[in-house]
Amino acid sequence: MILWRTKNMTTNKAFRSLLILGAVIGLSLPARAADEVRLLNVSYDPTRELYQEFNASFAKLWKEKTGQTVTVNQSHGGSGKQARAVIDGLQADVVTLALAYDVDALFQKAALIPQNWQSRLPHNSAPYTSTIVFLVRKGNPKQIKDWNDLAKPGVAVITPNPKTSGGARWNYLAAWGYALKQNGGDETKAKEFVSRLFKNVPVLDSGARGSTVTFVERGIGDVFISWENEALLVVNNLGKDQFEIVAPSLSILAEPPVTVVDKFAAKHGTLAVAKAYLEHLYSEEGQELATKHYYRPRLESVAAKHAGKFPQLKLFTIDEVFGGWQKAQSQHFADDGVFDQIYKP
Amino acid sequence: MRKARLFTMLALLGSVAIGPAQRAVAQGTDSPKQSLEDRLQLLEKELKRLQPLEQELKTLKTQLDEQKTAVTEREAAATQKAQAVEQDLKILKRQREVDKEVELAVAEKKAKEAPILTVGSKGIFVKSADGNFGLKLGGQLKTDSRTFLEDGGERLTDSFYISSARLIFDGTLFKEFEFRLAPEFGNGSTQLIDGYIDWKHWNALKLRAGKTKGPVGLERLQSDVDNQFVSLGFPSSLAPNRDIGLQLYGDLFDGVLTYAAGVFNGTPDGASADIDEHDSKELAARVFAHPFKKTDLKPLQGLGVGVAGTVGNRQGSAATATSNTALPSLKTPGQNTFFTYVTGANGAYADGVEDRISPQGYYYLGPFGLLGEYVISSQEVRRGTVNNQRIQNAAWQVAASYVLTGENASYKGVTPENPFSLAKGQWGAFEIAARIHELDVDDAAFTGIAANRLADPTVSATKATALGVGLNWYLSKNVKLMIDYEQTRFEGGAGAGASVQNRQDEKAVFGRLQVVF
Repeated sequence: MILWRTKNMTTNKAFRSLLILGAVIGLSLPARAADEVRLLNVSYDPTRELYQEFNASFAKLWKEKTGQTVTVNQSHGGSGKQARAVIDGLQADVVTLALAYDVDALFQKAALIPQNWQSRLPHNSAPYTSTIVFLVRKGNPKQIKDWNDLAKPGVAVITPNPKTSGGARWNYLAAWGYALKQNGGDETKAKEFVSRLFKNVPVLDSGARGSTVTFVERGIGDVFISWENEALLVVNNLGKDQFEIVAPSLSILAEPPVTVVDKFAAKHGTLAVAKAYLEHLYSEEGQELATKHYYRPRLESVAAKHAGKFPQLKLFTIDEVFGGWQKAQSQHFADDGVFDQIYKP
Repeated sequence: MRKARLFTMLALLGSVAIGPAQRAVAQGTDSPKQSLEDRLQLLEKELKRLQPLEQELKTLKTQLDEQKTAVTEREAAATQKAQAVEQDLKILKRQREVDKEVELAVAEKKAKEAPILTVGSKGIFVKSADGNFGLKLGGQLKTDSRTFLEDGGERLTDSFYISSARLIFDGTLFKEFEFRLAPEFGNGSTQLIDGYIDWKHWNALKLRAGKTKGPVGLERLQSDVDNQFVSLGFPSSLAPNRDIGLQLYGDLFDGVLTYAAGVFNGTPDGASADIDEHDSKELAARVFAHPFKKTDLKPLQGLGVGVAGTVGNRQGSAATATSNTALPSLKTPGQNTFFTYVTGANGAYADGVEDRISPQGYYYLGPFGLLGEYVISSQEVRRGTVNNQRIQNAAWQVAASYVLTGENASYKGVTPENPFSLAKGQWGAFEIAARIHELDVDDAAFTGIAANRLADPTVSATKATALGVGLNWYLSKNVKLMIDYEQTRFEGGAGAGASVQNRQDEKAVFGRLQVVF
C-alpha cells in the first residue's frame, strides 16, 4: 500500500517537475530578437577615414538584408596598444589591426580567438594591402631614389621606433629585406646597412602618427619612411606642392589582417553580423572603398580598374624573407634582438 | 679700400693720358712731321708708363672677383649653417617633445601597473593593476530583536541577539579563479559559513568547489542581506542551507537562463553540514530563467521562473541517544521548534531515498515585487523495525513588497536614491512587505502508536501557517532597519495523550539593524 502510493506520488511529482522544467526552458528562449545590434571595431591608427565610410556602407547593406540596424563603434590607436587593450578586456567584436603578430597575441595571451584565425578569411585574413614608400620634400632636394640613399651621410631619415610602433616594424623589415637582396642574402651586411640607416634618424618617435608630425608639421628630416596609404593621404590632402612620393625598387607587402574576436562576439550574440561585416570588406563595394582610401585591393577587377593609382614596385612578403611574424619579432624586435644591438639611444 | 685705390689709379691714369695730349696741343707744331714724331714718342713713353698700372688694375679686378666669390660662398655656407642650426633646433625641440611623450607613457604605464586600493561602500578592495589578483574584505553585522506577544510571560523568550557577525574575504587569483572565506561569529558560535573556490573561465560554465548555499531555495539563495523579512519563510526550512560539494553553474543567452548542477554531501532540510557520515551523496540542480529579459516587453523583463531539486540517499542512526538521525527539526519564524521527529535511542532516523522539488519565481516591476516558491521534500524515515515511511513535507510562500519611496524593488535588494542624511534632509528608502507562508507535515509522520510513530502529535504540529507584515528602512545600500510582525497558527503540536490540541499561536515582533560592507 505504502509502496504503491509512494510510486504514484513520485511519478506525479516527476511529471510535474518535467512540465515545470519544460516551461522554464521554453519560456527562456528569447521571445523576440533585438532590432538593433552594436559592434565594436578595434583598429589601428590610419584607418579612421576608411572605416567611417565602410561602416555606413555595411549598415545600409545589413539593414536591407536583415531589417536589423547595426551601429559600428570604432576605436583607433597604435596596433600593438590596441591589441593589448583588447587582451585587457576591451570587448571588441572585431579587430582590424596592422600586423598579424598583434592579432596572434589575442590567441596567445587571452584565447580570445582560435589559433587558426588567419585561415578563416581569404588572403590570410587581409582584405587589402599596403606597402612602404618614401615621402620626400617637393623637388626631392636630396635626390632620394632608393633605400641605399637613406643610409648616406647627410640624409636625415624619419621613421618611428620599431620597438613601439607596428608600422615602424614594417619599415625596418622592408629596409632589411632590400639590403639582403642587394648583398646576396648576407645578414651581416644587412645589419650594417640598417645600422647606418638608423644612424641617420634624428628623432625616433614612438608611433607612426608622431613621425608624421615630425616630418610634415615640424619640417624635420629629408625623407619619411611611411605606409603607402599614409603617404598618399599626406600628398593629396596637404598639397602636391609640398611633398612627393618616391617608390623604392623593392619593398615589403604589408598585409593588415582582420578577424572576429570570437569570445566577445559570442558573448554579445554578434557572431553572425561580425562575420558578415568582415566579409563585406572583400566585396566589390568594400574593395572600392579601400582603394578610395589608398589601400591596395585584393579583388583583381578593382585592382585593374585602379591600376594607375599605385606605383608599380616589386614586393616581398614577410613569410618569404623572414619566415613569418613570430620569427621576425623574436629575431629583430624582442629585447636584446637585432634592433637593440644596432640602435643605442 | 681696394675700390677707392682703383678709382684713384684710373683718375691718375686718365690725367696722365690727357696731360701729354694737351701739352702737345699747347706747344703747337714747329713742323708737322717733327711734332707728330715727337708726339708718338711721347705717347709711347706714356703707354710704357701705363702698362704696370694696367697690370695692377687687372690684378685688382681679379682679386675683386675672387672676393665676390668668396663672399657668396661664405654667405651660402652661412645660410647652410643657419639652416642646419635651425634644423638642429627643430630636432632638439622635437626630441624633447618625444621624450616628454615617452615619460608620460612610462608614467601612465607605472600608474597602470600600480596596485589599486579602494575603500568604499562595498568594502576594502585591493587589486593588482592587471586585474589578475585581488582581495576584498567585506562583512555584515545583524543585530536582531525578538519579542513574543501574548505568550503568557516567560513561555517564549524575548531577546536581543546577534544573528550574524560575519567577515567576508573574496579573492581573485589569476583572474579566472576566485575564492570566498566567510567566518561567522553570530549566535554565540564560530563557524565557517562559506568557503569555496570558483573557476570562472567561461561565463556559461563555471565550477565551484567547497561550502556554499545549495542551489535550491529561492529565498535561501537570495543574498543574506537582501531578504525582506527578518526570518526566512517556511520553504527555506525544507531547502538545504549550506552544503559542501562540487557544482557547475553558469549564465546562458546573456543571462536569460542560469543553471546550476552539483553533487553534495547532502543535508537535512534547512540545515548546514560540515561533515558527511556516509558515502552516499546528494545531487542538486536548478534552472532559472528571465524569459523576457532581452525583449522590448518592459513590463515582463522583471519576471523570473525556475525549478530546482535534489535527489539522494540519506542515512541516519538512532542507535544511541546522541546518534545523528539526519532528520530536520522545523522551526517557526520565532525560531521555536514546532515539529521534531521522535528522538533518543530507538527514535526515528533517515533511512533511504530523499528528494526535493521546488518550482519558484519572482516578478519585479518598478517599486513592486512578488516572490513565490513551493518546496516538496520527501525522505524515507524509519523507526524501529515496524515503521518505515516515505514522509513528504511541503511548504510554500508568497511575499509581496512595495517601495514607498519609488525606487525599484529587486531580488538584489533596494538601493535608495537619496541615502539618509539629516544635513541634506534625505531619508533613504522605505519598503513595506507582506507574506503568507505555510508548512504542511505529512500526516504519515503521525500514524501508528506512540511506540513506533515517527512524531508525537502532542509535541509536533502537523501544519504551520504564518502571516507577516514588515517595514524596511534602507538608510543606504549599507544600512537597513527592519521591523516585522508575524503570526503563526498551528494544527496540532499540543495536548496530551490521545487529546491532540493546537499549539498556541506564535505572535512575534522582529527587529533588525543591519550593516553590510
